[in-house]
Amino acid sequence: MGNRSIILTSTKKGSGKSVIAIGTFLKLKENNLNPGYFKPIGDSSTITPKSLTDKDVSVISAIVARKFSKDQICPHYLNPHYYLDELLPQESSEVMEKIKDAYDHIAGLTDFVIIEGNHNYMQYASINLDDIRIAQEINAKIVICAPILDDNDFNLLIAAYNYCKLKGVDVLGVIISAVKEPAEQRIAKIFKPLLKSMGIKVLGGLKNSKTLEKPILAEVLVAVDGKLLVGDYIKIKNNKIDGFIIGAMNADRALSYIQTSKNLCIITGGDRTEIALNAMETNIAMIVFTGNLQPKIEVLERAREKGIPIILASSDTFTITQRLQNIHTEIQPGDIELCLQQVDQNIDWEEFTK
Amino acid sequence: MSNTVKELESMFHPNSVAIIGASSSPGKIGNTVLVNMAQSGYKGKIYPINPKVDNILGHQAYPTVLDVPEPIDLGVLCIPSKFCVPVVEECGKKGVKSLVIISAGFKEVGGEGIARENKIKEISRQYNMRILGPNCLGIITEANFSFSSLSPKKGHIGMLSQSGAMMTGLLDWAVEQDIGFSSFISLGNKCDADEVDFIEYLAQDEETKVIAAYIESVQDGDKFFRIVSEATKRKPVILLKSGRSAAGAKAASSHTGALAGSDIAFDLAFKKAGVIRADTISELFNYCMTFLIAPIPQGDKFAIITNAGGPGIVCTDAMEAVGLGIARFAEDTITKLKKVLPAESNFYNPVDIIGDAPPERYENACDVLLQTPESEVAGGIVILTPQAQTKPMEVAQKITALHQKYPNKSLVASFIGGVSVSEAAKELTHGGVPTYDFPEEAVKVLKGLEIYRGIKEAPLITDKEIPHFEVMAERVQEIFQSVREDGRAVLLSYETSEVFDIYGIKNPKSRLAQTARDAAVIASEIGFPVVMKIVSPQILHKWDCGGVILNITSVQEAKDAFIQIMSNAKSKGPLNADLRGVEVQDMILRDNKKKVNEIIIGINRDPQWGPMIMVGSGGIYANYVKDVKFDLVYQYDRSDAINQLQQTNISKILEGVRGEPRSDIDGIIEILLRLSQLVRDFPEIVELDINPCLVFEAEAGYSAVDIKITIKH
Repeated sequence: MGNRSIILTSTKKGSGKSVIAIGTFLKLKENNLNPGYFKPIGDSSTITPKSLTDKDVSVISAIVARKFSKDQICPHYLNPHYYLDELLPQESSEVMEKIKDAYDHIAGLTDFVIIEGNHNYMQYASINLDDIRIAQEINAKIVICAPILDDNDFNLLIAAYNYCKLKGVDVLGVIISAVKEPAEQRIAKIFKPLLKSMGIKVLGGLKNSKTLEKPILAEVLVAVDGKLLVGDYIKIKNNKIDGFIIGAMNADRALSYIQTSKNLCIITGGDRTEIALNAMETNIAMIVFTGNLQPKIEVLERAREKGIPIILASSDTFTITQRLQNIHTEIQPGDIELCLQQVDQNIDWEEFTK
Repeated sequence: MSNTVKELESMFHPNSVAIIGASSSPGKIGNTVLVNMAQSGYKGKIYPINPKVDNILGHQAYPTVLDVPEPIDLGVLCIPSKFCVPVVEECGKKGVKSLVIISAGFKEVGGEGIARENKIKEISRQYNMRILGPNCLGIITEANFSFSSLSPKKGHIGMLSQSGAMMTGLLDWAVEQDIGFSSFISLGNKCDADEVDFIEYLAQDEETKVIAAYIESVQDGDKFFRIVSEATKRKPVILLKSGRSAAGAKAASSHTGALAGSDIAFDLAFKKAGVIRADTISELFNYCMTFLIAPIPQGDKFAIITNAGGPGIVCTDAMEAVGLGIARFAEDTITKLKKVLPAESNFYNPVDIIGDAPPERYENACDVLLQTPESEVAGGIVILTPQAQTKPMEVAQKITALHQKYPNKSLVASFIGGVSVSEAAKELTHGGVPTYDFPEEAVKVLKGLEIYRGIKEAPLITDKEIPHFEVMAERVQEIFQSVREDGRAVLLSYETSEVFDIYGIKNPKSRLAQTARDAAVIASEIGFPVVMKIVSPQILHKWDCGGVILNITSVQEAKDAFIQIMSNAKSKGPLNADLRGVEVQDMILRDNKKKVNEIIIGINRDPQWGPMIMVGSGGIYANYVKDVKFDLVYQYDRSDAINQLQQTNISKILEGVRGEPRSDIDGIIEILLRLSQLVRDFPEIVELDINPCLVFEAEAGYSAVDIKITIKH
């Protein structure tokens, strides 16, 4: 075996790094290898009192990498919005040493380490803890993961590649994943030939997966910072939602929208009793009441009868809507087969270890 | 004599009057006014103004006022509003001293009417003419210069009414009740002379003994205080103000605003100016009649003499309800009562002389009580119920005689009944003892007399010395300016803290940190433990988004808290939230104090009366407990602050109950005085709330923990 590790870095959020990491991990195992997973810097803003760790680490350690402790998998945490309040550039060498030690420990006990980078390749550059810098320090090759919506994202990919080259880091190749259907055509017809002509290796691209993108109730609850008024959390926390709809219009009009789809989450004010009652007679997945307005008892009773979860959130409808629009869906234990499939069918994973 | 009085003299006692729009056709206003003047015995010169005729009702008519050869003191306009502007201009040129504009069609109709009213106001200023109205009924003084067909009898009540319809109704009623007036003025739109000008005039008018008014609004609060507070020293001023509604409170955003309601300011202003407020029309006249005939009491304790137990108890309850002192008789008095009353009587207050009481028993009991010193019994309420042996008329005569014998003691009566007591009641009233159907009314007027004694004795409000504190007001101005430039109306917590520091009001040390390292340094300087809170104009509920962390005890915790709070606010707060940083605040350790009480102090601004200050029980339930008292900031001094605090229920707790130490009451008084200066210095402060202000035992002071200041944007 050639490489001892790769760093999955990305041009921006939503690149599918976690899917690739989990799928590759499982694929390597299938091939009788002993893989490891490493995340140099965790996101402290995603630490919850329950997980006590970064979101990605929490997911991956629950699913695949149980043999190392969370602290071993992720040795340091920073808040991406306020990291300069925690660490100045002149203080970061100590953290780098800590990262190297932790990496060495995992690398010493595994055949190959999949390293999941920061939210993007530039993150923490100001304190010399960006993915490229870490790759230099631990002598890892880079795989650039780029979500592509349009040509602008292609710019980001080339810029990332050039930066790696400038820094003298080996780029194993790139994984370009279409965010939506039309992008797939541009990837095939324009971007791939262009990358080939530039001598950049394409290692594949994830296929758009509706299932992986659907949020679950637990994620909605966290995103809206709400309270579950109706429903048994343990039983329903993994219920997936197909989409969201805002019930801000009159009850009849709202109903006409709600009836067009099923398994939706309705977002409306707690005082909109009529919308809530009408909606519960259709195939909705849940209701989020905004503005800390407690719904009437009849709404709660009907929700109990119909088994429809009710969430109460304190923010206004606008804020809740924005938060749900940017909801970050995570890989659930039930999704790991999908990750394996994605990697198996769409990624040239064998290249990682060559 | 003030300028106002001199100027209004021509309206009250004109030597010559021009009726502009005079008519010989009955039913027309110009005719009614002319007829009323003649019938009420006006002795001066009358000049009807009408371009179409030469003579009206025997008086030579003129086309315009400019054609009148002699000077004119008063012009009464009875013409359509559209002709008023040029006519007012002509009156000015003629040198007419004052005008009564009866015509309607001005401010009250909006649009052109407003412009017309503004124009006549401008002309009147140019020619120094005083105007009553427009849109009024007129004025009744020595003669009837109004279009009211009723002329009341001469008397000593000077009456003002902002409603013309109310005036006609009152006149009609007064004629039937045989109530007389020194003057009756319908104020109308008050484009020039207002209620305060007329109160100033009536205060020096010798014919007027009591000033009464029905008003709906007050034009100028400052002028009201200045003039009316002086007038009330000379004679009682009783006002009936309509509109005791709480609608205004709904729009208020602060605790103070919500607790105030719209009418409290009027109550306070009237009290401050020494005005007695009547709640109903009948109460207004009850007060008037009492003040006309009854002496002002020289003490504050009163006796009840009754021939029936029930009404005596009702009367006692009513006295307690209005806070009228119930006399406790000296031993000597009780001994004397025992000598003149049967053994079954009650010799204590209320004195029950029992149902079979003949006139002599009333006379003897009253005599014993009225001969006591003023401090023991300042007056009394005589209650009579007609029973088999009762002789109401003879009782009335005995009481009247006693009133003559003890003229300085305030006596009122309640003769309960109908036909059998009505003549006796009239006898009493004519004899100088105001009499009412039921004891509650008697109590209310007696309370009015007692209040007026206080008003007379109190120092003139404009003479009060208001404490002044040296402060760096310029810095506060700068803070307010920066808040306005930032497009905000509400100050952020570190800004309020600085304003309070400047005005010497203790609040937890607090500073804004914009980085985690700043937070650590500030926390060390303030001293641990500290509280840290997100600072953002858009985040109203800091706890909801994880924007508050308590009990931070180290530099590292302060750094972590900064990042945690900023991060929480970013992920859980409103999306548009502008995160200014984190406030690091000294944490008050309640457990270290012997006593902690939460009070609320607030400021609210009334459009007519200016800032109001509030104090009472604070905390999260302040709006429900509603234990708060208000006062107007106008001429607010230490005694006002002490008095205000003492009226709250929490003041007793602050004094110390169940062995607790006394709280820092002096500190609260200091806050009230300093805040009153702050809002006087800065009229742009619309609302201010401190809730809670933590008050500790006297030696530990207080801390204004949560402060909100809203300024005019």
